[in-house]
Amino acid sequence: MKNSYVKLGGVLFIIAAIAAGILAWLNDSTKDLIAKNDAMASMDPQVLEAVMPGSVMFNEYEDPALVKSIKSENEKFVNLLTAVDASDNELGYVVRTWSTVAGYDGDMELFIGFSPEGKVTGVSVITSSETEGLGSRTTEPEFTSQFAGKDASAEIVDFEAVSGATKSSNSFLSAVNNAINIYNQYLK
Amino acid sequence: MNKLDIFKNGFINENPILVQQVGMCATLAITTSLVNGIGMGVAVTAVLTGSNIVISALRKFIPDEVRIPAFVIIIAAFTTIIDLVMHAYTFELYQALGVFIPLIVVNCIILARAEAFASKNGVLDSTIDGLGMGAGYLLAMILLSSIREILGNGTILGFRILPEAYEPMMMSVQPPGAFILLGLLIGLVNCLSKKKKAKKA
Repeated sequence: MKNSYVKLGGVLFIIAAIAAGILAWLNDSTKDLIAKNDAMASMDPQVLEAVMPGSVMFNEYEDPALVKSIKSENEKFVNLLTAVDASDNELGYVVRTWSTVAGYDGDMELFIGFSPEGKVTGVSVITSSETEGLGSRTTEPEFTSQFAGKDASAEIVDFEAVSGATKSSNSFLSAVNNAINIYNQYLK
Repeated sequence: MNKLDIFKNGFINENPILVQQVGMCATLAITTSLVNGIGMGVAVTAVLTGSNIVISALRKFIPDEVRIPAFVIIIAAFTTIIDLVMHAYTFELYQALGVFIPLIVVNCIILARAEAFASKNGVLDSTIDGLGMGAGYLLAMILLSSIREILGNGTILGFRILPEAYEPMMMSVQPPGAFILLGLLIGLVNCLSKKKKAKKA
């Protein structure tokens, strides 16, 4: 009796292990494409307009080596992009980064746009798991629009936090400042 | 049963949607345009055929007591494969079909074929059964989604075929339209198959 249970479990285990192996391999070989697709899909026109007014697409930065070296030195940094308008003119840089200070429930991921004149053009939240209705207000334009036009030569200190959601607001700000530091260190 | 009969059985005689009427949830939900219908039909056919092949090949290895969990693992693996492949290579379609791709795993037709056919028959027969049932599913999806797209949008595969003056029948691409049109389609199929039987008799 006991033996048969072992056998039944064993067969299921083998099947599950093989299935898991195949899926792990497939997941590994499709994950780059999937990440790219999801990134494209997250490019909804509202996000583009909020981060870099007039842009239609964010392209990969022309020098992958620089992106790689930023990644190795700054663990919260995700990607560096170039915002372009409909006739493919470059409008500025966009930094994609996680916050360096955790919010109420983990880090937030943001796009931060920079104009060639060294100003923040806009900010938009990509990923956030802040409390619905409270911390989540840091993802809304009423809050995020205050960063547009700010000088990017040094970290931002003055800003209007969402009342009752200081922790989320600070997390948001830390991502913006991480982007500003990256901008000043590598792109100026 | 010879091979052609197995195929015809799934394609027409026991058509999963028009005759067996299983797996209706996704059918009703995503047949708003022909592209979606074809995409879903192909995805289901791939999972169905794949799981039929593996299950029939392993039918002597899998003990009877644990066959259902074993089938579920195999079906879930194939569904995940389709999910990942579509997410990577046919992204627009993937977005249009949304949650109904992962839900293929609970589509009754797949477990039903595993249990009723693949676990009792050889690999070749099971492959043909999977393709036949899949083709039947695809056929029903194509019929229903074409009708809905033409009536509800005046287009087919995005090309306008009815004149601009045609006032689209919005209801046909909305949920109630799905029920009504599928009902009419099934009625039509029943009517035709009865006539055919009467002739034979």
